Amino acid sequence: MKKNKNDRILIGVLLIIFGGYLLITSVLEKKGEVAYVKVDNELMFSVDLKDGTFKPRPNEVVKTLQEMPVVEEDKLLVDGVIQTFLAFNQGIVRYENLYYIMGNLGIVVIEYKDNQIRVKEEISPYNICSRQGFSDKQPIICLPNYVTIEFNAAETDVNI
Amino acid sequence: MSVKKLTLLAIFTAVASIINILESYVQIIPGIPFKIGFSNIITLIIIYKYGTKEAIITVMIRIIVTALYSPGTFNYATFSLSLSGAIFSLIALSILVKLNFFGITANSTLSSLFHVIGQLVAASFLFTDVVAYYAPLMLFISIPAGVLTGILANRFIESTKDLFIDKKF
Repeated sequence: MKKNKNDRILIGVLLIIFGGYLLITSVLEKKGEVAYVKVDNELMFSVDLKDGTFKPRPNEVVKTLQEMPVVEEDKLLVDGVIQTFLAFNQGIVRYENLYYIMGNLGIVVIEYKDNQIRVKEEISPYNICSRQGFSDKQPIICLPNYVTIEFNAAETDVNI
Repeated sequence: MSVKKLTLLAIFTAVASIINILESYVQIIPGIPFKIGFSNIITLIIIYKYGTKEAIITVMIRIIVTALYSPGTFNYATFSLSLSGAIFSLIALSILVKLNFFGITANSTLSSLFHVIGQLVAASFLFTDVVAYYAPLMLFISIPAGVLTGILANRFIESTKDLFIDKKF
């Protein structure tokens, strides 16, 4: 009986502590303004959520296409021709607001639309990140592909 | 080790692995890769009925089996997350069982909390910034999940007391 009482007190205290922590962080949470796409914990490119401005990291090779490519597992086809341009954490193929990069398991397709961003297609066991859909504050994690999308408010918000 | 104990431990390990594999296909909250951890019920039963050594062995076998069964190639990232979570929660659970201050429900809750802490530690090596966003939510959900697994494990232990007695034939 004494143990039962101890248990209830402990669970109550834990619920209050972590519930309060969750409440405070969710109140302070802000909508992101820039989406940062990272591969292997390294920034690859960023997309401004307001107007979709694309900014790759320095020295990154970017190929802009005029027509929509076809994704076949780890190959990218344009007009039926295989593009051997992408490698893991190397190279970005861009078509309008679609970005094709190479993850650990295959090509990851990232789409920007209406101030939000999502992983449209990827190859992974449970497809957790592409099922998550569009997001503008909750980070998107493709764990098997080592691809993450994080959101940050613009730097100017810090000044009061 | 008696034949009965060996057989029971093998069955428990197999059941825990199957629960773990099935659970990875179910997403409770869309977008958040969070599992309740029903296979932890088996860990609790083993640690209360047999001991820490047996629990460590079965959990390690379960993790390796689950990692090998997941579709696609062997995934280093997900394996390291589940391994560090298991190590943290097993250390916490074995200390709590030794102390014998709390009941099974509170021990299960604390061990599930430590499981999340272990996962967050491993995740902070893989992805530095994402952890800060997920930490509050994951820590909070782990409490009701731990309570649930603790209650279920308690019910199993209470209702199958004679299962673990070694009979002489």
